[in-house]
Amino acid sequence: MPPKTTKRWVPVNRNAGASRGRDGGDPDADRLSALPDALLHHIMSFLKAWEVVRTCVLSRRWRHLWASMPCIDLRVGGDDYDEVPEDFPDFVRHLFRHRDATAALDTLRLRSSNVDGAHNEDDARLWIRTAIKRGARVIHLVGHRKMDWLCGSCLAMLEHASFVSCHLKILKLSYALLDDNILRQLSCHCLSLEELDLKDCMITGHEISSASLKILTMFKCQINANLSIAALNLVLLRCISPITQAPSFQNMGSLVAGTIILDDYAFSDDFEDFSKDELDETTDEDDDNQKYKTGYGFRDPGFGLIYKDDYGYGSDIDSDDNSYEYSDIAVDSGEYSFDGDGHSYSTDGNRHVHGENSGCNENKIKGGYNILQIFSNATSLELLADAGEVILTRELKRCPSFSNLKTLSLGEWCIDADFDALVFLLQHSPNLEKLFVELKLNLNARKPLVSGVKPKGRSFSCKHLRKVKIKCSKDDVRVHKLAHLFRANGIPYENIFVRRTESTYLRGEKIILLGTNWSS
Amino acid sequence: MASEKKVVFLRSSDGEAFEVSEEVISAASVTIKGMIDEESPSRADTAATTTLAIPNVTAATLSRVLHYVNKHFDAAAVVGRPDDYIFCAPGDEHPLARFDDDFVDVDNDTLIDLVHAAEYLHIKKLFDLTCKAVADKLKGRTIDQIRETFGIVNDYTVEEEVEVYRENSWAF
Repeated sequence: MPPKTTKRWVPVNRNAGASRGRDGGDPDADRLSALPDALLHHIMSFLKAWEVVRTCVLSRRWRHLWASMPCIDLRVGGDDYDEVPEDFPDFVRHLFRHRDATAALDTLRLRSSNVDGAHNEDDARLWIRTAIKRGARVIHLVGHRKMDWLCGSCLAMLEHASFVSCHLKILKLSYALLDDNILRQLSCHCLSLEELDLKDCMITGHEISSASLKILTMFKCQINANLSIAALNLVLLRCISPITQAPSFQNMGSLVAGTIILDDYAFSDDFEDFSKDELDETTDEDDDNQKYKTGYGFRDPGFGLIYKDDYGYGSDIDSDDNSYEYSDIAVDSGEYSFDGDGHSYSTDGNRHVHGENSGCNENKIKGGYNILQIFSNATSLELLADAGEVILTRELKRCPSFSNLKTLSLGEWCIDADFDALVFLLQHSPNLEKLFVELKLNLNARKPLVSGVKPKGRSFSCKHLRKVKIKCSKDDVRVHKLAHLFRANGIPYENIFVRRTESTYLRGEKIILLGTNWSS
Repeated sequence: MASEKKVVFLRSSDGEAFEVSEEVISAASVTIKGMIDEESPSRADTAATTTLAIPNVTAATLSRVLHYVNKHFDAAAVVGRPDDYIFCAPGDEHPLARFDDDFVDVDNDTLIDLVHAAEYLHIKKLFDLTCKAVADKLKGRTIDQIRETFGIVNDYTVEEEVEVYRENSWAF
C-alpha cells in the first residue's frame, strides 16, 4: 500500500456511526422527506405500486408524490399477499385514473396473471396497453415458470398488437411465449426498441430482425424453431444457455461485445431444466437484480453508458484471495512441460464434476450458425462451453479474423490435448490484450471434439497480450502446460496469473452436501 | 514491472484528503471521471498529483464511499482489474453480495448521506444499492412505524388525514 496516503479510506461499518458527529445537525430531522422528488421517486421504484400509493398518508410532503411516480411495479410476489389490495384490478384502475396525467410513465413491471386469481391475463394485457398508450419506455412482463403451469398458470401470452409503440425502448420478458406474430411486431413496429431481454422464454417464431436493437439478451430460452436473428445495429449480444437449439445469426456488423454460453446437454431431446425451478423458487421478483446463475460469471463488457448495469454484479470481481502470479506456483512444473503428458490429474476416476458435457449426438445439434463470424469487429468476447461443445467447434471453420478483439474469455471447450482450438483462436486475434481461460476438470467427460481446424504451427503472435488469467482447480496441472505454451510464444510468466479454486474433488462433495440448501 | 498507478486525492467538504487510484475512481464515478478529464490537459506532463474538491461529501461519508468503490471497482491490487472476467460456481452468491448487505446496514442518517453522495458522484450501482436499502426500510411497515423510523412528522390535521384516507381508500 502506498505510504504517502494522507488518509486512507478505512473500512468503517455499522457502529462507526456512533463515533462520528452527525452531519445534519438536528438528530431528529426528517431527512427522508427532505430529499428531492426525483430521488424519492427513485427510492419508490424499489417498492410495489400499492406500497408507493400508501405513503400518501405519511405527511403533506408525501400526499401527491406517488401520483407522479414514473415507475409502476404491479408484480405481486410471494411475500406480498397480505398486503395487496383486495380487488387488485380495481386498484390498478384507480391508480391509472388518479395518476398525475402530466407526469411521464416510464416503466411498468407486471406479472401476466396471478396464481391466486387476483388478476388474469386480460387484466395484464389491458395494463400493458394503457402503459404503452401513455408512452412507457420500459415494459417488464413476467409469466409463470413451469412449476406454476401445473397450477393452471402459464407462460405469458402476449397480445399481438400491444407492444406497437414508438416509445418502447426496453422490453424485458420472463417466461413468455414468443411466436412468429410477436417477433414480427417487435421487429417491424417497435422502431425505438433498443434492448430486448428474454429470460426463460419459449420462442417458436423464426425471425428477429430489427434495425433499432442495440442490446439483446437471451437467457435460458427454449428455442423451438430455426430462429434467425439479424440486427444491424446490435452492439451487445448475450446468448446464455439456449435450450433445444441455438439461434443463428446474420448481419451484425456493429457488435462490440458478446457473451455466448452453450451447453450441449441442453440440446438433447429429453432435456428438462430442473435446476431452474429450484433456483427460482424463492425469487418471485426474479428480475430486479438478475444474478444469472450459470456455470459462469457474467462480465460487464466495459460498455460504460451503453451497458445498463441491470444485471447486478456483472462487472465485479471477488477478492482474489487465491490469485497468484504464475511464477509463484511454477515450481515443480518441469515435469509438465508442454509436450509432457499431464495426466496425473486423472487418477481418481470417481470424481464426477459439473462442467462435463453430455454425450449428445453432435449431428442432432441445430442452429448456432455464424455464432463466431458475427463478432468480426468485436472488442470483447466470451465464448464459454464445456469440453466437446459442438457448435463452437463447428463454427471455428468460419472463424473470422478478430482484428479489434482486445479481451477474450474462453472455457474448457477450446482446450484439447494440443490446445489446437486455443492456438487457432489466438492466431486469429492479433491485437488481443487480455485472455481469460477457465479450466474445468472434467474427468468423465468425453474428449474435446477434433476441431477440424488445424492451427498453423504452435505459434501465435499476440504482441499486445499483457495479461493471461487462468482459473482452474488446485489439482489441475494443465495450467503448467498452458504457461509453457504462452512462454514459448513470448508471453512472460509475469503476465500470467492463476486463480485457483478449491480442489475439484472437494467441491464436488460440497455440491452434494449443500445441494438441498441451494435454493435459498 | 508493475505499471505506475496514477492516483488522485479527493478532498472532502470538511477538508480531509483521500487517496484513490485514478483508474478505479474513474471507472466508478462519472462525476469524478469528468473532473479528471477536465483537468488532464493541464497536467499531462507534470508528475504532480491532482487533488479534487468534493464539496458536498463529508470525510465520514467519503471514506465509506471509497471503501465501496475499492471493493467493487478495483478487484485486487495485484491481479484484478474491474473489467476482469469472473467465474462463479453455479448457485454461488455473488462474492460481494454480503459486503453490500453489510455496507448498507447502517443508521438512516448515514444511509441518506450515502444516497446523496452516490447521486452527486454519479456512482449508479451505489445509488441503486442505497436507494433500495431505504426502500427496504419502508417495506412491510405500518404508516406509524415508517414515521417513527424516519422521524416523519404527521402534519395533517385530523380532517385532512381523514380526507386523504378517503380519497385513496382504493389503495388500502
